[in-house]
Amino acid sequence: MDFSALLTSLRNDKNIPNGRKNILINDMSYVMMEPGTWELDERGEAMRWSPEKSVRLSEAVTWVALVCAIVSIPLLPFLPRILYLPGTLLFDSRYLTEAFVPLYLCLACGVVALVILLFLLRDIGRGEVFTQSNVTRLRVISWCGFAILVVCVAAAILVSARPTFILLAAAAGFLGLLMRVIKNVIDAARLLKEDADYTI
Amino acid sequence: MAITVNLDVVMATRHMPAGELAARVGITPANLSVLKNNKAKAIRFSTLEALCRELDCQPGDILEYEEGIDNE
Repeated sequence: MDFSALLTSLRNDKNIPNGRKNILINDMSYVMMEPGTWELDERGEAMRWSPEKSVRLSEAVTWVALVCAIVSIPLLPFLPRILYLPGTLLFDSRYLTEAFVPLYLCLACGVVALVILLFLLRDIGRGEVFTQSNVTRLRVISWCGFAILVVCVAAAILVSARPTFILLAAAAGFLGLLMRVIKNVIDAARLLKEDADYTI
Repeated sequence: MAITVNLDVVMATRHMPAGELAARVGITPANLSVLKNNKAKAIRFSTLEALCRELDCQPGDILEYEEGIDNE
C-alpha cells in the first residue's frame, strides 16, 4: 500500500479518532495526522505547505498592502476623523495638516517599495532568486526605507507631530537596514551561484 | 583569468565533434561550449579526467597558463 492510499484509509477510518491517526513509519518514528495539514489533493497526494504557496501568500499580502497604500492617498486628509482617538499622540488632527507633505512623501516611497517587492516576488516565484536584478531591487527598497527615515527626521524637526515621525523614522530606518543586509546576503549568494553555474 | 582552455584545438586535432564529446564525458553541450569559450570559472577533476580519457591527452594539452591575460 503506497503512502497516499494509507493516508486515505486512515482518514476514512471512523473507528479511529482524528487526534489518534498516527502513521507508523518504522519502530522509532511516526507521522502525526493533524487535522487539516494532511489533506489529500485531487491526485490523491498529501498536500503540504510549500515554498510556492509561501511566495503566493507573500504576493497576496503585498497586493493588500499596495491597495491599502493607494486607497490611503485620497483618504489621508480625512485620517484624523477616521483614526482620531482622544489622548493618542498619533494622527492628532492639530498636527496632521502640516504633516501632509512628509506623509505623502513617505507614502510615495512606500508605494515604490511595494511595487518593486511585487516584481521581486514574481521573480522568486519563477525560481530566479539570486540574480543581479533582485540585488538591485533590494537596494532600491533599502533606499526607500532610508528616504522615509530622512523625510521623517526632517519632519520631526520641522513639524510638530514629533513622536509620530520619530516612530516612523525608526521603523523605516530599521527596514532599510534590514533590506540592506538581505541585499548583501543575496549578492554573496549570487556570486556563489555564478561560481557553481560556471563550474563544469 | 590567465588560464586558457585549448579544448577546441585538441578536439580539432582528434576530429571529435562537440556533441559526441559532451555525450562521452557526461556533460551538456551547453557546458562544453562554456568550457570551450573560456567562460568557465572552474573545472572539476572528474570532468578533466573524462576529457583527457576521451581525447587521449594530458591536462596540460587542454589547459594553458598565459601571463598577462585576464579574461574576467
